[in-house]
Amino acid sequence: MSLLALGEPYLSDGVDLGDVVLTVVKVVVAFVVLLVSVMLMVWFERKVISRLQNRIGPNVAGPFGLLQTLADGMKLFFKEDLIPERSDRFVFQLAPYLSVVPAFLTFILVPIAGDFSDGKDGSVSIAGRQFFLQVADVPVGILFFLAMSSIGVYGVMLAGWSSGSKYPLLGSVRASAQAISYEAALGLSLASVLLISGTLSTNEIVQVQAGEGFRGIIPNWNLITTGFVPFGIFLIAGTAELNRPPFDMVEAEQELVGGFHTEYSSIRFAMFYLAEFMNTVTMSAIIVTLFFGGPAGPNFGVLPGWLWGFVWFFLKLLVFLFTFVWFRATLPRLRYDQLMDLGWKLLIPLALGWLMILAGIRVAQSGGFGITDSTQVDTGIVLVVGLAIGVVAALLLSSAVRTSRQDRLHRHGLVEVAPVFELDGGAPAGEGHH
Amino acid sequence: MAQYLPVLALLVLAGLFAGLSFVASKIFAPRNPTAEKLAPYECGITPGRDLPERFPVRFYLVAMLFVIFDIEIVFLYPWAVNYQELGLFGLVSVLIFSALVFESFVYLISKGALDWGPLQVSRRQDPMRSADRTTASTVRRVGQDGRTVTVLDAGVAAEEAGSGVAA
Amino acid sequence: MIALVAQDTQTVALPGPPVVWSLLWPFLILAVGGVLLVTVTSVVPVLRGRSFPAAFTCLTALASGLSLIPVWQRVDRLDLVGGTIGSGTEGPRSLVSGAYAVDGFTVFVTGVICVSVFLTALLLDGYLRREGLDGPEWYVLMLMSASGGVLLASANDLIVSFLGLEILSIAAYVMAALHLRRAESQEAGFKYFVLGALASAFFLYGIALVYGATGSTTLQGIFAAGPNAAGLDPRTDSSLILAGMALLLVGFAFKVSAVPFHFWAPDVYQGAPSPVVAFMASGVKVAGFAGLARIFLYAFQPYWADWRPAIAALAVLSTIVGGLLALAQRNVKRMLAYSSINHAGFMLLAIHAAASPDDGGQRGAEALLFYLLAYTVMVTGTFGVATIVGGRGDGRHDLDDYRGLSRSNPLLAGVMAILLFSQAGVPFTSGFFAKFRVIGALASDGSYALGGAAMLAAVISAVLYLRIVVSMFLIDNGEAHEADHEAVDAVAGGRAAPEAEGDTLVEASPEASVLTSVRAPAPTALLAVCLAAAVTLVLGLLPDLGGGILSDAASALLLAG
Repeated sequence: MSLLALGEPYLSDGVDLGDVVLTVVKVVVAFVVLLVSVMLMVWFERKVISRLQNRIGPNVAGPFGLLQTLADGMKLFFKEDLIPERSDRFVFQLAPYLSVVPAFLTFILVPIAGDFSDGKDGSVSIAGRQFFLQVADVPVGILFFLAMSSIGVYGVMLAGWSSGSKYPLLGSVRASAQAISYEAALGLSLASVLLISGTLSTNEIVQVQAGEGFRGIIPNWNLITTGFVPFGIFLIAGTAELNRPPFDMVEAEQELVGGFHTEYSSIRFAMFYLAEFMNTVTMSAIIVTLFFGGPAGPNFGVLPGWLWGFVWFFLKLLVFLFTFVWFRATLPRLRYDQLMDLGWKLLIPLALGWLMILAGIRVAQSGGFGITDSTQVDTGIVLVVGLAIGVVAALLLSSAVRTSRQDRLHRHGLVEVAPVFELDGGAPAGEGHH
Repeated sequence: MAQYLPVLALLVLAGLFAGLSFVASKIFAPRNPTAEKLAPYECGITPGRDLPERFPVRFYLVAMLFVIFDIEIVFLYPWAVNYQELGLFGLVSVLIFSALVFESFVYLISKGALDWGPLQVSRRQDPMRSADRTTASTVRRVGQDGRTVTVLDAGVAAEEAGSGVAA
Repeated sequence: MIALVAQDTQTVALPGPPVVWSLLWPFLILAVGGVLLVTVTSVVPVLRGRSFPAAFTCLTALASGLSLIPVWQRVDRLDLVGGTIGSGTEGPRSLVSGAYAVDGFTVFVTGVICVSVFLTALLLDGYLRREGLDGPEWYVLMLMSASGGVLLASANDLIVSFLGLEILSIAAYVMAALHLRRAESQEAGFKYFVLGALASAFFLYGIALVYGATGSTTLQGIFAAGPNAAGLDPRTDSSLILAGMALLLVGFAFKVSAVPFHFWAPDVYQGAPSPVVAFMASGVKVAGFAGLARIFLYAFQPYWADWRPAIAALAVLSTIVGGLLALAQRNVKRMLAYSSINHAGFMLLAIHAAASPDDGGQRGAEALLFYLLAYTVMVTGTFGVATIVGGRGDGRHDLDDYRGLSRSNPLLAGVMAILLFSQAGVPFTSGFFAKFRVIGALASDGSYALGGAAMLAAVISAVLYLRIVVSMFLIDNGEAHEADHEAVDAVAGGRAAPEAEGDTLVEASPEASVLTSVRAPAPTALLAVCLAAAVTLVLGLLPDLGGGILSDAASALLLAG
């Protein structure tokens, strides 16, 4: 996998008119797919939530209420668009763009179909042009994902700041603190995937996962090869990045009315709404791509190979879309300090430690240590030493947390108390009267 | 750079979509702004105070910490992609680097830089609410005077005397 | 479970650079010591008490200093036989792919920095108790800063130099601002930071230009690209390298506070906590000079004729202007700041002499090294006395506050007198031989004019030190002051505070607090200043003590690489 071979084959040597046409077709298809998927996702979420809450949900507009989202969207075009007088007009109008455009762009990374079986690279050929079934396989792949999710934060932050109103402001400050806190954990758990895959390109990450797994039964998904923990961290951090429940502090209705978009109405509000759901779909797709092999899966014939890829991708995607809705229906919202504690004091150190142990094991497996003649014994030694260091680190961390707590108690003149149940048990010990 | 052509195309398309939506909204939506509509949302009350201009320094602290961790991630990614070529030397370098970041992280936590929200399960250090105070030491038994001799410690005795006088 | 299926990609591991760990110990002990200290005190709050960090820092400095002995023995032998350490491909006497140079010069400068850390840790202990501050951060930052200084002195590559410079400086900026309750301290930290960042920018831009001119950031590479090397046009890209050298020189001149890049020094020295100033004036400055000497005397040696006049100009300006402006001050810390500018001028003169291609070179380098050691000890001691006299709040630094010091604490006054005489260059003190060696080296180089200027500057600055000494010893004839002291004496006399409690018993009045501080200084601080005075005297009486070390280290500097 040399660096030069990265990326779309059809764009690797010059661009002619045919390439441009192909690109435009891909982009338009992706655009439509995204919008339709958002429409369906909103419907799906409302329907699932309703069912989980023993309600029926939208069922009037179209069959099964499928067109409900469309109706809502159309309605928003006819709503009055207000720009509050205290707002910073330019930034206020800019913020929806900053939110919605990165949401679109992140989707380019997702390979939505393609035949990855038997070492194929998932490419499809039409009219002599070989291309991947994703918008673009950019060489910096994962970095692009992180960049876009960072820019998305600007949209939320500036929306709240420019509104000139207190609830949006509080919401946006919380949003930015939360987003950057979890982005560190997100990035560190991603590093484990990169370690295993050895590439930043999403297409190649899928290719690696399509390889033969353990004993031919268990797939070679990064979920398994990175040892589950990075996936867990990524899922939690991803949920927090999306500002979805149980991490939806940003728009906690009970405290902040609507959070950062309180002052937005009409189509501007629709843009935030759109971006939010688009991000949910994209994040699910990214999780599938990074940890569950994306479109890679067995090819049972009948259908063309690339279509099997789409089937597998869609099924996996559906699982995560449902998971996100399930989270929302089931989990109560975290308190703000719990949220920050979880991110900083648990997920980040865990992700970092896991990455280090994983790297140590991989280096040992490739014989990098050379402690003994056998790489297996080396791996065992590294594993034991790594876990020991991990335990020491966890102890350090927990005693640091305890120290800080004790300092705080001391500073505020508080004492840690065990509940006193003794009501009339005679004299407290040690005084000895009577 | 040809690899980024689709990115550019999608960027333009997304921008156009958003822009055209705004135009459409301008055409279809009524415009009838009033002072009440344009005022900041305040749950129905007339907005009073101005916005707070300052935020807890904690938020800025988080931003700075994020920069540190982001830089760490930026250093880790190239290594993670090429760790096999870099071998043991790369691993040891990254381990040292991570140990230093972790160590400063421990310092930050112990300094309370990452403490949020109120303290839980704690109580103000109040002489009136100490574990030493039980009903035996605070409740004065009446009607037992002269029958049993109860020796209380000096402070309580004095208090008792005081309250006796007041009564 | 994890990564059961190894990838079958056949990759060839890149070989890491060979690292000779045993020669890195002096640096590692300082750096790891700092990291260890911050970790331990973070998780074991009991150890945050004031004595543990101070003791730990002193021990770390001591351990680092002791670990220099085996390194010196190994390096010295190699200097003699001209052998190599490490793989040998990256130039002799350098480690880690030519990034880190270990030679006599490194060892010497590391030793001096350790001395500075040791003395400052002793001073800090008393200071923190008196000011009611706590926190191991001061010590941690000092150890970090010192490790950066060692890195700067040992850097064999401009990038590593920059790393060292930043580690050195950033810790020092924070230390300057660490007295959180004093606005002056914050102001000093901020000024230091802003100007230091500017200097770093100059430095970095200089590195970029030098790299552009020579295609290398290693000192060997820059040296080899010089006009001395065979087959090269002497004027290759010479304007680029001249600009690069100029920017590097400006960067260093800021760090060592040479005129006209000295403006930050008096303000920062006045505002920053006194023990921190002791470290800034000694450890930080020594590291700056070490980096300057190594880069200019070795990498830019082929261009010596170009940069020497610039050094001479900086040096003469620093000595004269530093001395003259000091005379106009009344604040003792400001005076000492200008005096340190004056000393910087002398050290620059030593570098000027060391750049001489003939006999003056060796003598100049020796003079520089001796000056670094003597200066470190005496300046730490002097600021140590200033720390003690400053009293609680660290605010009593006016010349008047030194009045009658000989009566309230004769020992302290005596020590201060020795240190000040040494700074002035009075015979039988280390300062005399330091200045003598510099002027001697200039003379043997034939730079008589510079030697004359140096002597003139020495005379000017002597007046400044005498002013402080006079203030300490001659009880002035003003009745008011006399009465003041009588009154204060009465207050303190009635109290008869035992030494150990001296610092905690100060509630009566600020006057009394100052007096307590002077009467019964913290024992550690007293130990530090007495040690400094003793070393100053010993070096003054036996200037050739360990003379072999000096000349070996000096020749290592000139031969480096």
